[in-house]
Amino acid sequence: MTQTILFSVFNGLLYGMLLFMLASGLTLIFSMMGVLNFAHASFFMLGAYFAFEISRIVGFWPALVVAPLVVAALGALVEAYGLRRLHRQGHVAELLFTFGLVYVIEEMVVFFWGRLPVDYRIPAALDFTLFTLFGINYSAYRIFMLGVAVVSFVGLALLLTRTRIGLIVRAALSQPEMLRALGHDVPRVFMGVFAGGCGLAGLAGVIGGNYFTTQPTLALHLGTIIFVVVVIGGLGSLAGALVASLLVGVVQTVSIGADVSLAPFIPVKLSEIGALLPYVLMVAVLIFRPKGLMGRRES
Amino acid sequence: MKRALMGIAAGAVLLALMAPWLRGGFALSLLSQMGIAMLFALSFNMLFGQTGMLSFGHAVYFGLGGFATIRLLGLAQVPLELLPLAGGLCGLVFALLFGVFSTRRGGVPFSMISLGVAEMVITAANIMRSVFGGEEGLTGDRAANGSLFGLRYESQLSMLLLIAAWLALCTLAMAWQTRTLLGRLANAVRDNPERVQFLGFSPYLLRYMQFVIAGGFAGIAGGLSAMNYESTTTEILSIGTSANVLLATYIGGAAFFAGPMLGAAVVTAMQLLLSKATDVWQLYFGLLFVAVVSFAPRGLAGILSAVGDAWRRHGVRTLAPAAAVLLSFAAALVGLVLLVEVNWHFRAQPDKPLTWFRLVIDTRSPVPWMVALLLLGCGVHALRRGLAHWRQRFSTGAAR
Repeated sequence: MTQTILFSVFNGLLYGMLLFMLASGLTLIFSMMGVLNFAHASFFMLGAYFAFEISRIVGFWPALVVAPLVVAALGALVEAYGLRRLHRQGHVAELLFTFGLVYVIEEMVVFFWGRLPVDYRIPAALDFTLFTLFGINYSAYRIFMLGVAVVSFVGLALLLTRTRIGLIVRAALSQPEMLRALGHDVPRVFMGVFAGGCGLAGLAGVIGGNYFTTQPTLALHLGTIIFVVVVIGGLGSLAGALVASLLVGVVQTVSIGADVSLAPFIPVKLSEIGALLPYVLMVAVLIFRPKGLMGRRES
Repeated sequence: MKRALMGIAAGAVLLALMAPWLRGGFALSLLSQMGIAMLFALSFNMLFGQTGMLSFGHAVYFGLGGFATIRLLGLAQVPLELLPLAGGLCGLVFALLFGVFSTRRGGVPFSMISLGVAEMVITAANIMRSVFGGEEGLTGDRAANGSLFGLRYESQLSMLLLIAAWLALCTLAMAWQTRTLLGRLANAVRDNPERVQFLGFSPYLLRYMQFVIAGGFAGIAGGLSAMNYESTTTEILSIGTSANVLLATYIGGAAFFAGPMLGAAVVTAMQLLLSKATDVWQLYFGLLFVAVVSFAPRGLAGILSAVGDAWRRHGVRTLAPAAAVLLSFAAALVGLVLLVEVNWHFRAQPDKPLTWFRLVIDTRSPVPWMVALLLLGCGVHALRRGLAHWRQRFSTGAAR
C-alpha cells in the first residue's frame, strides 16, 4: 500500500512538473501580453512530432535541442504575423485567433502524420531500469524527464531573477510604457517571451511525447488540463502555477491508481472519478477563493 | 423588433417557395440542422455579442437540454410541440447552478472557467452511464409522443416545420430581449463594466442573468436537436459542439443580431457538403475561422453591411472593384484548395490520378503544384491590392 502510494506520488510529481513546463510559459505570456494562448498545448504536440521526425533522422539527442528551437521559431512567427496585428482589437480577438490555431495545427498534424499515433519511442540509451525501490522498477527515462523539467524550471527562475534579460522581461510585465520610454523594443520583448514560452512547451513535448502517446488529440486534452491548472493557481502567478501543477498532477495520478471505494458517499471507486477531480478542484477553488490559490490580480 | 418580424416573414416565404424542392431527404435534414444551429448560435450570441462573454462551454446547456428532452421522448402523455420547453428548463436550471461561480468575472477568466466547467460536465457524463447512456447514448421515438393538435411528427418535413416554428418564436423573444433594460445593460457590461457599477447595477448579476437566459435558449435548441435525431450521445456536450457554435457566430458576425443565424446556416451547410467532398475539410474550416478573425472581425454580416453601405452611397461604381476583389479571392481560394488537395492526394495515393470535378490531375507531375502556387500567390497579391483600393475609395472608417 505504502509503496503504491509512494510510487504514484512520484509519478504525479513527474506529471505535475511536465504540466508546469506548459503552465509556466502560459502564465508568463498571459501576465505580459494579457493573451491566453489557447494553442499552447498545440506547441507541446508540435514539439513531440518534430522530435519524432528529427530523431528518426539524426537520433534523440539532437532532437532534444533542435525540436524546441523550431517550435520557438514557429511561436515567434505566430506572434509577429498573427497576434501582433490583432492586439489593437483586444484580447477576445487574440484568444479567438489562438483558438482557431488549435484546429489549424491539429489538422496540419493530421495532414502530415495521419490520425493514428506515431511510433515515438523512448531512446534506447535511457530505456533501462535505473533502480528498484520497494520492488518497483524506476525507468531511467522518468528520472531523466524529471531532471529536464527541474533543470528548465531552475533555469527559468535564474533567467528571470538573475540576468539582465530577466530584468527587462519583468519590467515589460509591470511597466511596458516606461520600458518603451527607456528605448527598449517592447514588441520584440513580447515576441521573445512568446517564443520562449512556446519553446518550453516544445521541450516538454519532446520529453513528454513518448511518455504519453503522440497523436493529434494530445493538444486538446492537455490544453484543458493546463487551463485548469492556471485557473487553480491564479491567473498570472508563476508560484501558483507551480503549486497547482504539482497538486493536479499528484491528485490525478494518485486517484487513478488508488483502489479505494467511496461507497458510503457515492457508489463508485475513486479511480473511476480520477479524471473528474481536477475540474472539481477548480470549481471548489473558484467558489472559495475566486482569485485562485496565489492570484493577486483581479482582472 | 420590426426587422426581426420581417426576417421571420421572409424566412417563412422562402421556406414556402422552396417547398417543391424539399422532397429530397438531404435538403430537409440540412434545413432542420440549420434551424437548430441558428437557434443555438443566437443563444450563444446573447453571451458573446451582447454581453461580451466568450463561452467555450455553451454546448453544456445545449446537450443537457437534449438529454432532458430525450428522456421524455416517446411518452404519450407529453405533447411533442411543448417538449423543447423541457430542454429549455433543464438548460436554465444548470445555467442557474454553474453561473453562480462562473459569471463572477467576465473576460478571459470567464472563458477559461467555462472551458473547465464544460470539461467537468463531459467527464461526469461519461462516468454516469446510467443517466447518459454511455457510448451508445439514449434514443427515443418522437412519433409515439402525444400532440396538442392531434398530429404525428413522423416525417422529416413535419419536424422541420416544428423547428421553424420554435426558431421563429425564440428569435422574436431574443430580439425583444435586446431592447429591454436587461438587454441594454448587458451591452453596457460588455463595453464598460466599471461604469455599470457606478450606475448602481451589479455587473455580476447582469452577467448571471444573461447567462441563465442564454442557457435556457440553448436548452431549447438542444431539445429540438434531440427530437430531430431521436438520439443523443455525450458527444453533444463536447468542446467540439461548443467550438462549432462559436465558429458559426463569429464567422456570421457577432455584432449583428442576424449575424449568428447567417453564420450558422453557412457553417452547417459547409460541414455537411465539405465533409462529403474532401477528407481535410476541418483544415479548411480552421483556416476560414483564422482568416475571419484576422481580416474580417465583423464577420460575413459585417462584409455584407460594408458592401451595402458602399452601394447605397456610390451605386454602380462599386461593382467593378467588388468584382475584382471577389475574383482575386476566388483565385486565391482555388489555388489554396488545389495545393492542399494535390498535396493530400500525393501523400495518400500517388499512383492514381486525382479527379477534381471533371479535371484529371496527375499529382506526380509538377504542373498542378506550380499552377496552385501561382494562383495562390497572384490571388493573395491581387486581393491585397484590391482591398486597399476598395478601402481608399469607399470605406467610411468601418473596417471591412
